[in-house]
Amino acid sequence: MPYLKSILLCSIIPFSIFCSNQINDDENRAQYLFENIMCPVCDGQTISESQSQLAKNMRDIVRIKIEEGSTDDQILDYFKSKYGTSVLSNPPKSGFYFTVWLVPIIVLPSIFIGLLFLIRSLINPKKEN
Amino acid sequence: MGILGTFCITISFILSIYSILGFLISMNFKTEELKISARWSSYLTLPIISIAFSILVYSFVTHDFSIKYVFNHSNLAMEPIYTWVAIYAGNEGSLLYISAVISIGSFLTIKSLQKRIPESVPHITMIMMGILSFFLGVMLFLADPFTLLEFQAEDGRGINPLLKHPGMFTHPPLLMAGLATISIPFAITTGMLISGNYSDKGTEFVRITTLIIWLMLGIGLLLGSWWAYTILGWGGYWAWDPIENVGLMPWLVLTALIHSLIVQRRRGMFRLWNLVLINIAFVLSQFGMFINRGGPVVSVHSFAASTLGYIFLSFMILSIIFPSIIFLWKYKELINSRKIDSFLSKESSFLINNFLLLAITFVTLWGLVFPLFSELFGKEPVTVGTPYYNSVNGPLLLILILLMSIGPILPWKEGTIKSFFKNIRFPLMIFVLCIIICLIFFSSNFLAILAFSSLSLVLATILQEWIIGTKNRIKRFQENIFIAFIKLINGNRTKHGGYIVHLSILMLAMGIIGTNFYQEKADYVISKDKLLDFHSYQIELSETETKNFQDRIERKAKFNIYQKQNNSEKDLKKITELEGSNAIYPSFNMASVRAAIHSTILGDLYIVPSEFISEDELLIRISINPFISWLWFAGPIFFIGAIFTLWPRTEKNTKL
Repeated sequence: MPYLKSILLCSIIPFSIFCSNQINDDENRAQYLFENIMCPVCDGQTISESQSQLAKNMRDIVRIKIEEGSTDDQILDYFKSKYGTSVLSNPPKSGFYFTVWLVPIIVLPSIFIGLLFLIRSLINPKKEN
Repeated sequence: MGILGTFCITISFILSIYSILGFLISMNFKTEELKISARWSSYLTLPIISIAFSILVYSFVTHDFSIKYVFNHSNLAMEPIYTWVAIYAGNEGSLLYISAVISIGSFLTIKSLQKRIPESVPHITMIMMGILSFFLGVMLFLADPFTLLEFQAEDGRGINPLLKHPGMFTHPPLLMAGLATISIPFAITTGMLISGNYSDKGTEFVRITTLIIWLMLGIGLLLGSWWAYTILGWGGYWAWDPIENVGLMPWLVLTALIHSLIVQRRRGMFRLWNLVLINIAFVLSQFGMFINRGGPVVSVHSFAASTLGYIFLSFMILSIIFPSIIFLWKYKELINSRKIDSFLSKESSFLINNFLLLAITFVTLWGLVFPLFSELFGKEPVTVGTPYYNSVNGPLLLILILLMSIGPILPWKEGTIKSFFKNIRFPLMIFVLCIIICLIFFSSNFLAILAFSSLSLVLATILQEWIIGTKNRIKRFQENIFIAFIKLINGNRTKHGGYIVHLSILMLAMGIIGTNFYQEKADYVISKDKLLDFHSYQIELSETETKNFQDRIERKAKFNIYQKQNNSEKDLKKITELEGSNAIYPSFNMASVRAAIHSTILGDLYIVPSEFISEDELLIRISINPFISWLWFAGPIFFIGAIFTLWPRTEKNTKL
């Protein structure tokens, strides 16, 4: 097809930007953890974003703990024990808090299946025969 | 002046109540004069609220600090241009702004509907005036913007420093106007339902207003993203913050609505469903007002926060109960016997589109209220943040994008599997090819590759439609390619305007996928004497300066950005100079950090001066945000597409 080429050219955009990644793992882990820990004294900000002194200290603690060889979970647990569950930017995936994940996982597919049945029942019976 | 302002609000409140009562009485006693007078009093609210609005503007411009609101939100040093921003910077002023918008909206609506559906106008006006009187009443009794200051003040407290940004001139007013005017389609449909004249003429007007509101909200959200992107502390361009979410949810429901309204317009189906969608959007907009003004959730936005949460909560509950009663009472009138003909039809695909958009809305709402829910059960407080939303909404968005490629090629009524495969063949080839190319050259994250490739699938279906359509016209009418294309898309503006909007959504998705999967971020200490190597860039700290202003201490950092040539560290080419700043406002106890951004089509170099260690040393956070600028380019395309759809038809091409 003659127009295939033009579609092709437009559709595939050069992805050359994603080639190098020279940031070391520790820094990546630190940035990941920053985004998953809330600043306890700021409304709705993670410590990655916050300019408060507490957030700065918390960032330092994260870095130190990474250097000491703590795992991500250990670091998150440390902050959780110190400031409570709400310091995590996500509810834990266990116990009661798991419902936050469970509801979308169960409710949405069941509604979708319901919808498919609804469409089926709406389909004109004459046409089906 | 303040007293005059309060007086205007009082008068317009009385007028709106009079209008409601007037219509009620005239309906029972069939008094035509009273009806006319009630209608005119609803019109009159507009000039009187405008006077109140002008008084507030005047008080800001003349620095009348005897008015508390002016004292709290401006000072002598404020440039007059920020008056516009200061007006909606706090709770009271933004209520006045919202009232003004509603009164403009209701005036235009009633005026235009008077000729089209006169029998429903009284009911529609009553609902509009009911909503308007609520906002006027709240101002009058609880949050008067013209309250006088208890003491004499020489100077005001000043405007919130975060609002001093070009984005702030348009983002809040557009969003507030969008949320407030959702009441218009709601009033029209509910009014028509009560009066028992649910007509297509009214629905067409609903479609137009919905599109306008949807456009305002969409652009407002995007401008907010852009603003948040340039300022540190707001989680990049989108943080799934509660206040952002309450703006997004009505937009999503309206997006569902404008799709299913197409079905109603074309096939006369989904009337009941569309009414439900309008009601949901209205309730969500009231939910937004509630969350914004003293809601119980934690957010970085606290501009309009007040202690009036319970009032807005009550109004929201009322906005659920009232339409539900009307709905249960009258819904039978909207049922029709039209059936869907097949799974393989536009009708079904629109239903699935509606489901997905509502699913995203639901998941977002669920995440928003979950912290309250968990406290209700006596659990420890929790935060539901970005990772939850990304991991749940991400897949839903991906399915939605895939549906965007299937929907347009499905026919109305009933399609055959054979024609479906014929139409999807080429896009699917492109899709597979795109996956293969990505896997070979940029193999990394399969999910990201799948997401990118889905965009190519949608793009290919749209281009295929346009190319085939243009070719057919060239063959049939011997037009040149340019004219043929213009005439093609002009022939069905709803459809092709929609495709243009789809293109903008692809661009949005491009930016979202790029930054979510490929963002690189790191903190560095940069000093004056040493180049910092990051990605393909070499960054030099050229200058730092500290300036003391009346209201702030501002530190600036200037960077020279070099790019490596021929992959050698010695061969450097200077590409640009950037400047970032970190300002501290002591009286607000607030920092405003602006990033230094070098934007390219493939990605942004984003430098945040987080901490000034000494004059020569600086802690910075650098990131590469792939394709982020596509988000901002999507804005104008989105606007063009929506306007194209809205543009009034001339008699010549009224046929669909």
